[in-house]
Amino acid sequence: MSLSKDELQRLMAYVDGEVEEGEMPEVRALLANSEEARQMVAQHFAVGEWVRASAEGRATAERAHDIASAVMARIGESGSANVLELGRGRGTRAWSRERAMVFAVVSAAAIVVLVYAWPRDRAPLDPLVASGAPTPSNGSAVESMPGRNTPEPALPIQIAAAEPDGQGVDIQAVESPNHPVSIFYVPAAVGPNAHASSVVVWIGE
Amino acid sequence: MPSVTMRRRKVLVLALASFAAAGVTLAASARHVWAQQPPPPKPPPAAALVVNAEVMVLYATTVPGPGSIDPAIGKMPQLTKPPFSVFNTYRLLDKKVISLELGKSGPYTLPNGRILQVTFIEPTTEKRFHIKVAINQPGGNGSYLKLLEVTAEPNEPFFVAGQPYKDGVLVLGISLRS
Repeated sequence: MSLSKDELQRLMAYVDGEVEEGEMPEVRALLANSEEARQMVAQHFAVGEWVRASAEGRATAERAHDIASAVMARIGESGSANVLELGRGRGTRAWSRERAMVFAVVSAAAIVVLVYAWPRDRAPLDPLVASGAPTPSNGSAVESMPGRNTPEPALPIQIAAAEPDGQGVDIQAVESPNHPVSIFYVPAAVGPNAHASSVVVWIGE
Repeated sequence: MPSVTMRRRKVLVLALASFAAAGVTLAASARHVWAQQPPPPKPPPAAALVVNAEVMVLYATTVPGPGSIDPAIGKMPQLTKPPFSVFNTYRLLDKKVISLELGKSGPYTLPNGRILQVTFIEPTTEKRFHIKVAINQPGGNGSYLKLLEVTAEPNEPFFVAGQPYKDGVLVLGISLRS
């Protein structure tokens, strides 16, 4: 039995929630007596629910591009559909607040872990290393250091360090009884100390 | 039946509690491990200041012909200039490193029997070394060079020359090594 035009309009109004109070008994009677009317209303409710689900991002990827198949699938799943009005935005805002709380707590926990797990100050450098003193492995002048072969541990020896740039050699005093002394300044001419002159103290017999 | 939102909130609360508990546990264990570490070692005793004096003993002579400079001497252009150019031949007789502690002397016997004494007086503020040199007669019978006091920068040689030796003279090249 097919529906008339008026019956279809009443059913559409019912689906849209626009049926007046006076017409509601007729709509209910039509739904009770006509299977076709019930099917049509169910289809329309399913479409509406699917549209709402798509708007909230719940449409699955395989059905998103095929509206017809999605509608048919919905119709097959639904029995008598109940239209639920959701408070749009309310759930989204709550979810964002929860995410912020999670982020804040995780960040705080990470900061606590970092503060306690951060390495403390390193042990001070060995003074021999800090002074640039040669180590026994490079062999420079170690063999002539005093106390090296004694059984008791000798005091650590710090080699006096100096910078390459300087003022050459300065003579503070010369004393040689009964011997004439001459002092010469000979240019070095080459090398890193080319600016300096070599000092020669010549002592006669 | 609890709604999806309520279930989600419960999961979040559980996750937050787990993270907090893990952080507290990790912090407590790190503190415990740190507290168990041994105390830092005591600083070593004060080190003695040492300078190494390298003494090269050269034998300077004049021979017929152009002469030569011993390759073992190394690069020493001063030997080709006055007053060293008076002699045309130089031979390296000995090379010795004397380790000098601050305030102490290091003796060295020269080929002519005299005793070379080098004393490390002090380091200067310009990172140079203040030393004293003396050349004494053997057996303590007087001195040839009673006193030579110099301040020298590292690796800068100075020379004490003029002692007669065989057919020539001795030239002492002294460098302070750091």
